[in-house]
Amino acid sequence: MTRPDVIVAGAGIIGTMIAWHLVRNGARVVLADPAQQPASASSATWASAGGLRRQGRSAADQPLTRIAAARWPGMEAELDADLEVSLGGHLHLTETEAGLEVIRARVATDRAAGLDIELVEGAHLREIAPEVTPRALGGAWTPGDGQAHPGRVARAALAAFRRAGGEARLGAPVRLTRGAAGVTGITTGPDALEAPLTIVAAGAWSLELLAGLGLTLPLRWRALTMLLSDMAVPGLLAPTVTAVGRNLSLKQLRSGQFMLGGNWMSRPTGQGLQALPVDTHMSEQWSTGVAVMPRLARQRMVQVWAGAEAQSPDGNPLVGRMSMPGLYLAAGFSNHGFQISPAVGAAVAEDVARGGHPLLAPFDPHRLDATDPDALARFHSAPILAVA
Amino acid sequence: MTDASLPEAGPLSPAERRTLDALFDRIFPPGRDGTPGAVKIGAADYVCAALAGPYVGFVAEYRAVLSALDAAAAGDYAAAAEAVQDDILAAFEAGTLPGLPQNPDRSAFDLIWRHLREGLFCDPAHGGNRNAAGWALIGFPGAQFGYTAEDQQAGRTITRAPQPMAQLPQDARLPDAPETTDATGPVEAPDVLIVGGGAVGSFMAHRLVQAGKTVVILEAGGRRSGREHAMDELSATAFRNVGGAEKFNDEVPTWRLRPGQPARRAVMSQGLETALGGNSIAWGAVAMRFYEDDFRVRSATVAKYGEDSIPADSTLADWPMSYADLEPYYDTAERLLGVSGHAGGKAAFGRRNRGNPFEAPRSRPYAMPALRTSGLGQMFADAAESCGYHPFPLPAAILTAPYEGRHACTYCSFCSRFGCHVDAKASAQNTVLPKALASGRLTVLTGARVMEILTEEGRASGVAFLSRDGQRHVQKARTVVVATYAFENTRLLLLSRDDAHPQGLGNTHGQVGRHYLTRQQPSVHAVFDTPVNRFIGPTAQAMAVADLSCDHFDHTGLGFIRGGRIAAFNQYLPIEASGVLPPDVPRYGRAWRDFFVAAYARTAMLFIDPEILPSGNNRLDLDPEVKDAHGRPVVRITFDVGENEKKMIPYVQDRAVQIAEKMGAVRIWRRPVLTGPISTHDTGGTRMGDDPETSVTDGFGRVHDTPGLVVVGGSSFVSLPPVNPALTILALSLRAADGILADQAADAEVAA
Repeated sequence: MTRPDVIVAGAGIIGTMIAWHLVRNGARVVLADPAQQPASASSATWASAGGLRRQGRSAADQPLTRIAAARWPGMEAELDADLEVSLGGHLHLTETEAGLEVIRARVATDRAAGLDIELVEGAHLREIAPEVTPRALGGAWTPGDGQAHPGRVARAALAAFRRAGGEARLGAPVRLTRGAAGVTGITTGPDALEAPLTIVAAGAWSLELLAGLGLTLPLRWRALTMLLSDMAVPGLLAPTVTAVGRNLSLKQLRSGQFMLGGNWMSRPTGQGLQALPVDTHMSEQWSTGVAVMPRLARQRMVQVWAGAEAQSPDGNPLVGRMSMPGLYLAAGFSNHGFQISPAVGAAVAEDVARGGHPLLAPFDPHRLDATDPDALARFHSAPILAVA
Repeated sequence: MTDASLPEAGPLSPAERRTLDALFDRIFPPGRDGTPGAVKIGAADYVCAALAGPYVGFVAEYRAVLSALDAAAAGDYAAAAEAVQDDILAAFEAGTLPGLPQNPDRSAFDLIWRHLREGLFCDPAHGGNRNAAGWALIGFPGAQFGYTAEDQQAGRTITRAPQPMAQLPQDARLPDAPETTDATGPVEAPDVLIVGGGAVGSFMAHRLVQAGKTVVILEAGGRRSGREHAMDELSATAFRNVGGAEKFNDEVPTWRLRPGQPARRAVMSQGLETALGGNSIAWGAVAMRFYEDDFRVRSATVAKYGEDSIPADSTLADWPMSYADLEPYYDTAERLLGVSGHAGGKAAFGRRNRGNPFEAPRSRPYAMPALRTSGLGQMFADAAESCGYHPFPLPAAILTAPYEGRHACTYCSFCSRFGCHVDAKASAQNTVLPKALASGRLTVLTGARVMEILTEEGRASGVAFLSRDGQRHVQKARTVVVATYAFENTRLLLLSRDDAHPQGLGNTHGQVGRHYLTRQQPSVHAVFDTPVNRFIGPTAQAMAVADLSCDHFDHTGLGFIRGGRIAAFNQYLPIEASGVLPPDVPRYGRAWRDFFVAAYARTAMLFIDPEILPSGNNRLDLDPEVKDAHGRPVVRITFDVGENEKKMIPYVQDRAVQIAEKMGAVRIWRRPVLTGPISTHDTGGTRMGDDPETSVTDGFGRVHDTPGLVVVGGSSFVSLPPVNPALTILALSLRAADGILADQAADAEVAA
């Protein structure tokens, strides 16, 4: 390839989506990642639960969520691949009267933002999710939500990127290079590549990449634990289920297995972004699943894994041009990047071409520069054993 | 079928194709109930497409067969009456049809029958088994992610629609497999150079790098993820011939029963993996320790039954170590693999569904519970118990719980010979290799074909190897380890010569190649009148009895020593299963079709692993005529069962038949005592021992006559107990690694 217009560092769901949309818009793009393939261990995409949830999102990413939601039903056709997309809805339930107030508030807020969300109770709730706890009093219900396989989506986006003429440099160490006027590109293995713009979309690994330039970000990384049950009869649980006051997301996969996510942290090993599951977290995570869906007690746990995710103090990602010339950031999507990834890809591609994309304004990467250093230090050092 | 729908690129003429179609529909005719025959299922289309691709080398043989069929039918086999077609087919099957191509290793019918079965029952991705019609016919659900315990209840009819592998979910989230690079030349001399990137080499490398050593593995085959062929019976068997076995295909040993006879190419029933990970990808993963008395098999037998009880032709010997010496290494190997099982020992006598009561003492329990008991397993256990035996689940290197990021078993249909789709079955790639590579001290070079071990002043100094471009390179190292399969371990020693070792390294006393052992598979097959669904669950999800193994029963007056294990193994995939027939069912026609369609879900096998005694007759040497692609002689096997096996195996078979009868089998038949070399339990050839005159290495694999050279693997075995060899091979390897560490530490002390 002649000198690329843009280099994207990071071949997870965000990086592949950005790169694919950039080439679709006619840019010459190189996508680089030290891993051999997208969604490798121990990245955020590898450990993403794959939820396609519109409800309960921050006001800042609601517009992106709606754009993305409109595309997900056609994404398998767009990418010409089996993505294990299943649109069984999302149910956020509660087991308490106080929780019902939380549900009502969510329904009101999301409905005001234009979402087709409703409060479901009694027989309607049982019909949607017959296997959830009989203690469930009600829930916020978004029927068009669902799930997809993040690894398959990222690999399909990479394939689409390549079909559209993009060049992927996978499997060799990647570093950013800096000249007098800012970031000039990357090195990938022995090769140096230059481009007017380098987009860092590398999740938790972004911290290390930018540290190489002497930049520190208001981001920390945490490894979130995922659990998988053995197979049950498929079709027991159509929606993804979350619950007020419970640290859990629960869904049934195509194989019939149940996947349990949430915000349960694994313990970093000290080697790169690797982390090992914490036994007490695993048992609490599993028993939370059993509390929400008693039938899970009949199943066995068959796999545990954790991937590193970048988190920002305000929970929103950092997306946009950095003050250092030649550098663009798209990181910090912890727990809510997968659903919006196609919209982020499209928006970033437009933002790179024209600048000033209104939907990305809330995510300005320098918005947190003025954060109190003590607060930031507390954010960075928050213990992983405390359940977030 | 009209000519217009035939594949354009097919090498057969329309007339030949017509004959092929007619033949295929006589071999596997349509059912009387309107169910499809071979042509409608797509078997002929599959074969024609394959003849234009991977099977292009068989086109001439097909042409000759089709022409012979036509000639026997007055020029047009397809136009002949069905009765005439069947008579000609019978002559074809019997090999008496005039004009058939002749091949000393197999008949033309053998080949075409295998291809036909591939076309009937392969994954639809390969062009046969159209719309999974072949699978639907016999009730095989195809590539399923897994099955539940309820699905495995005996008597249950599985009603899932057959699923091709393209529809499989990827619900397990697996880390990447380690990447390696092809060799382009030598690298800096490491502390230890290991020839062979299989399980032995990988486990040794792991232990050595943990101790701070630098290690280079030279692997002749290509790199692999370890998940190859998942859920694809065809590519795991037939197409493997151009894949995992790329090296082995050129060097398949020859076999004869006795010295003086001509040797013919051996049928390697299990194939042999010669690429990164070796047989640790295809193995069945039974991970069972030897018994305590296996290590002193000769002295224990003599002590109890007298010197005369040792058969005259046997070279039975004790091992140069005790069970206690090896126990810590068994323990380490089990933890690295992640072995599931129920601990046994004497306390397990009389208790249901626990461990093996004969099991040797363990320093700790298994890492996780055994694989669940299937309906078939329970039938076996109940029957065995009523015969007075003590059934137990086989320990397996297959996870039943999360372990180091790996996924527990889903009880799918594809295990032995397949990479695991969820990494539940241990391989080198999903256990030790990533850890060893992460140390930064291990270099794995694939595509590096070692031709010779080199010596300097009688001491091993390195190896000569070829890179893929045919260039010869020399790789030096402080210690050289030969860690390949039993055949190549032996051959490499015999082909490596210097002035001090004119007959080959390790061969000063002519011991290299002697005491070769190979497992015989004299199974008992049993058909039931209700489904047992042996196609569900991994091979190793088996209940077994060890009451007839070793000296677990009194041999007084029996006229033989030792015994065999009986186990009801799973895995029954249709390409292979359709070739398993009782002696009175022909390989073609309605009788074959009706038997197989009805019996597929109702057939079980009581697998017998007999102990094979080492014998003066049985050995490996270099074939004087047959050469491999590099012009080097292949291994020649001389092997026959001895008098002991001829008496002992029928004794165990009789008892397996008894169990099958108690299980309610309505039809039972047994395989012969002699089944030939197997290519997964071949052992011996570089026997371990304390006496250099009767062995090649010591108990740590150190070659008696060549310092700096270590040989480890199945070839190290002194005897072949009725237990799967892999776990013991790994334990011996880890112990050999400790020997190397001790030797290098001693060398360093001397140097200091």
